[in-house]
Amino acid sequence: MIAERATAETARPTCDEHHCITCGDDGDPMTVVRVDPERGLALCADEEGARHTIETALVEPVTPGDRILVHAGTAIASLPAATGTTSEMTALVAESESEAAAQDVGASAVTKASAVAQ
Amino acid sequence: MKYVDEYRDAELGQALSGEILSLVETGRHYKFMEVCGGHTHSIYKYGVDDLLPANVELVHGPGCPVCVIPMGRVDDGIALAHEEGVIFTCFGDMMRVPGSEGSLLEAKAAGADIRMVYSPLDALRIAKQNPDREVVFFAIGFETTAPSTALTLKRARADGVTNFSVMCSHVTIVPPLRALLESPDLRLDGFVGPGHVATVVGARPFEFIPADYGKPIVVAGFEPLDILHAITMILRQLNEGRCEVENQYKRVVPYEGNQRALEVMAEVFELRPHFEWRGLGFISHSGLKLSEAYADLDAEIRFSVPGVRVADPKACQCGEVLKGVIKPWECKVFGTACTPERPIGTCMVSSEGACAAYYNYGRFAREREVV
Repeated sequence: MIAERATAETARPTCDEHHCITCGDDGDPMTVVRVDPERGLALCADEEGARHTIETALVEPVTPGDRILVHAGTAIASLPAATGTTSEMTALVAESESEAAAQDVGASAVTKASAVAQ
Repeated sequence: MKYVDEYRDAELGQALSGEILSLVETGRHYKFMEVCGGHTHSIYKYGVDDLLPANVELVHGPGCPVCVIPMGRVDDGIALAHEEGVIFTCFGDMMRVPGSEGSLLEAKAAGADIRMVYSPLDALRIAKQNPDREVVFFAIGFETTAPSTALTLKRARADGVTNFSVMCSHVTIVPPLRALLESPDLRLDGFVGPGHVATVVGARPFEFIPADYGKPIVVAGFEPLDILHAITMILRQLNEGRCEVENQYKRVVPYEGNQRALEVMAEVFELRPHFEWRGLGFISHSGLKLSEAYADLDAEIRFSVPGVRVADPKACQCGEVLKGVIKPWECKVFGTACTPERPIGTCMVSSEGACAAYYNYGRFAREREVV
């Protein structure tokens, strides 16, 4: 049974391990490496460093170093540069907590989380 | 991996989990639908379900473009693939979707020239490399993928490639959501909106959900913290008596969408009067076909396509799963007759399908642990 499943998995044409980037409505963050404005294409590097030729008509103009979100070989959005300072998510959670406190919905999320953890 | 890691931080996840716990009312059961298959996949992959209180239930929506393709459409694709001289191209998961007499993968094994591509541009490249062959691209996907097909068709036209055509099975997200909301057996408290569809169409098209059906919707990103954060935002709306469209995924989604993508889609596509969805039946104006201006690149016009309609297998309960009426493991054939290796229904085929995601990541933990 295990052997059968392993064989079936090997034969399975997915784009990635247990995941199809194209079908899954996925967006792949990439960095523009080189631009070919004549053809409306750009050479881009994904987070693992692999290079891809990407259609950039929907987010032009792009320049080397820009970060874009790619789906099915096409850039569908520009991404903000990673700043290296406080993350957006930390800020969002902090904002969430202050809203929660302001609305008197209970103790802060961190306190609650500690209580849950205990 | 900084850009990704910050959305998977364990401490922040615990904080959000605690906040969700503080926002739910004891004794009330909450049902939220994540519309997108990508969310379903993330929920199972990262165990987001396990960070929620027992009275918060996530229902998996129709947002997998593979799941919704009916059997007859697959049969049409296979018929096209068997046409003399045709190279048939499609995305990976589509190759395993069962038609009434097998899948595209089986048709490939039987000798049809069927090739997996990662983007429509790859299919166009194959057409340029094989000028003596007809190359057909089986286009599936929601509004996230449709602009890519549209741009490829424009490129084919501009480059004078005449041996390329598209079998268009693109679908739109709003009509099935409306159909689901009209369904009498559906009970939902809110929606986690599809982040990458919204990257293209914006958050505005979802305004009918609060306006017409009184349900909140929060457009969300795909990392685990995005999903948890979206759930806190829905709960806060419910607690405050608000009901609106909110955008959790502002770092990517403009409220008005990508205007250039919408323009190119409007030029290349037009709405079909109706389109069949697996498990949901025919839904008006929910599918796209090529516009008059691009009719010469429409594979369904260029070739003789049977246009068959095949009823879903009786044992398969994909329809109920897609509507969120039952959980995947409640289907009679889940994990027994229907597995990712031998799928009966399409929810088990695509990795983003609710059944396959559950089978791969949660098969042995069907009872939720109380946080």
